[in-house]
Amino acid sequence: MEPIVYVLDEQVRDLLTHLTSAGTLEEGVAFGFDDWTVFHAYTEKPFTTPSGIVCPCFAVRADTAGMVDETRLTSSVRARTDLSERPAVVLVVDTHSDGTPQCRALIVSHSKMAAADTRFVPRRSELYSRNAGLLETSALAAKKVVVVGLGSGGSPVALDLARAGVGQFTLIDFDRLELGNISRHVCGINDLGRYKTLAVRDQILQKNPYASVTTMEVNINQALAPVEEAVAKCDLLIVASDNDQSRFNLNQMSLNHNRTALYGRAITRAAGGDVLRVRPWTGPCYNCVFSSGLIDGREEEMSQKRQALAVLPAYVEEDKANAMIQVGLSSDIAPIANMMVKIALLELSRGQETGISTLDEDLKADFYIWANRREEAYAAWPLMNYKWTRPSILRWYGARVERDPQCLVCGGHLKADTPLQGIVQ
Amino acid sequence: MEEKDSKSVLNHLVDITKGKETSKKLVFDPHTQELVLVDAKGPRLSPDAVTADDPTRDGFFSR
Amino acid sequence: MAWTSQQSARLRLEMEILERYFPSFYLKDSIIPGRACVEGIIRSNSGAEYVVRLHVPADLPNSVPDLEIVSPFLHDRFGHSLVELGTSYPMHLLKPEGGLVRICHYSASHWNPNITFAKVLLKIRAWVEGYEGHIETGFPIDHFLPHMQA
Repeated sequence: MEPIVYVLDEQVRDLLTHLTSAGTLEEGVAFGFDDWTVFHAYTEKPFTTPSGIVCPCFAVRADTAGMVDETRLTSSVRARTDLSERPAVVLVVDTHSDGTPQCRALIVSHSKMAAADTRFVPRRSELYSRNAGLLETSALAAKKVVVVGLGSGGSPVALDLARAGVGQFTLIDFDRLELGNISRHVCGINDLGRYKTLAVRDQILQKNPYASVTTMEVNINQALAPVEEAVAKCDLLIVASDNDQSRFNLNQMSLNHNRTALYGRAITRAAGGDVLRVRPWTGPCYNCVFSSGLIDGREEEMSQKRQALAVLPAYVEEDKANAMIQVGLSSDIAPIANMMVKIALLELSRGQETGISTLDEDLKADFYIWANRREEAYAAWPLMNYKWTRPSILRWYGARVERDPQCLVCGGHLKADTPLQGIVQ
Repeated sequence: MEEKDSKSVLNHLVDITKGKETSKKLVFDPHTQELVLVDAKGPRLSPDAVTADDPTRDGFFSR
Repeated sequence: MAWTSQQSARLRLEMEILERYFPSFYLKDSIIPGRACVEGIIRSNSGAEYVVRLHVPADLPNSVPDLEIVSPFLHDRFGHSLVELGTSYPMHLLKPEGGLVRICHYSASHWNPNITFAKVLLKIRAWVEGYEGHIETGFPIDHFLPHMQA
């Protein structure tokens, strides 16, 4: 089998603009896989977490006749790097007569040189062509989403939105990826110790190399101003954080800037979970729903000690905090993340005719409940059996929740323009 | 009948703590700043009086 | 950083409510977020007075305010300083800060922005009665005041 070399279309275009004379070698880096049968070649710093075995990579421009002296090129490569352990990838770039870029790759080892099957990783417009008809991908590429909390819930939501073609992300989390996270997270062992924001950014770029991803490694409760600035600029706020304080703060920000927000969480051991959509000033806010008892009465999943310690009394021993950490399976989190993605895509596509528009007619409710198992808050639910007219596990239920006129956040009880000067004694 | 002596108030608090049903409720009179026991089904002490029962029943907890 | 307009309005609302229920409380010294506090006197049924300070959270009204007893210097029935007692489950106390007793009142997991300073102070009003009950009887404060569920 002829080796395959993948190269980013955009990088070849860049090479053609700055490699003006034939024969000049530009250095890059390649990653080889599977007994040197597949290579990924980069002439700029890779923006994703690389894997594979590092190989030398060079790029050269063909002469005006589209030719390159391969014998001389091979000698030149061998003179610059030791190829006894691994081969080098050489990219020969040129333009077709119609001006489009072309690139052919050569694999140079210490003893031979062979042509490779060269494939472009396409430009943005082609990347999501399979979604055409279902989603307006060009519109989604311009949409900006803020995702707060990049754990087992937030990370798959961010990644799925990138898969659908959403083009701009701000990722906010101050946690690092630990061993205990790996089994439920979109990132793996090779990201251990990294900020979740940066590791998820790399995953997003794997799916959409043209996405614009900014990250903020902050505790939102202690960095209100910069987070609010990001919320003000977004089209949709996704909240997958693990504490109510952050959700209340983000709720206020979404109301301040009239930005739709989606809140998702799992309850203890991911026995189930819920998803809330807040359409500021038209539907209930997070505080309205919290005060209704729908959220406060259902204990949240504790997935790490920091989270447990934040709600436990100071006098509780470490053992108790550890015992509170009862996580669910990734497959139990997945339905909640999936529902968030569906509602997110609806909200981001609002105003456009898409293949998912009918979903909007169904998803009238703002608060949705899901049960994975008949335990915790759902212990009394009837068996699933063959009935579908009564509550059952593994189905979504939309709950009608009205705005709370007593809500001190959105109920209109605060008087605008109330300067504080003069009330200090 | 209103009661505001410390012993009656404390006995009521103990009942709340034990989760007992009570025929009285504790209200806070903002004019006197006193906690006063009144009949649970009786009229309010004054238009401004607020229940101190509910927040007390919520319990105390540290962060 | 300054208060947002919503926070300013909320602080105004809090002070209006306090004016009605705990009129001795006032916004002390500073209106700077993170440094502002409300202070006043809570009087027990026996007539004893306690100076109470509530720290206004920088993310008002979205987190639990810290609450401390400024004076008198509190002791338990057996003469031990409550400050030295440190964090105490039976006395509903948090770790003291700056030599002052801090009272546990609301759990972070049960806090919501509908809870006003006045409601917090109503709890402290009950705590004061429970404290005096402890002094009178020797029972710990949690004999009179229940614990909140986690």
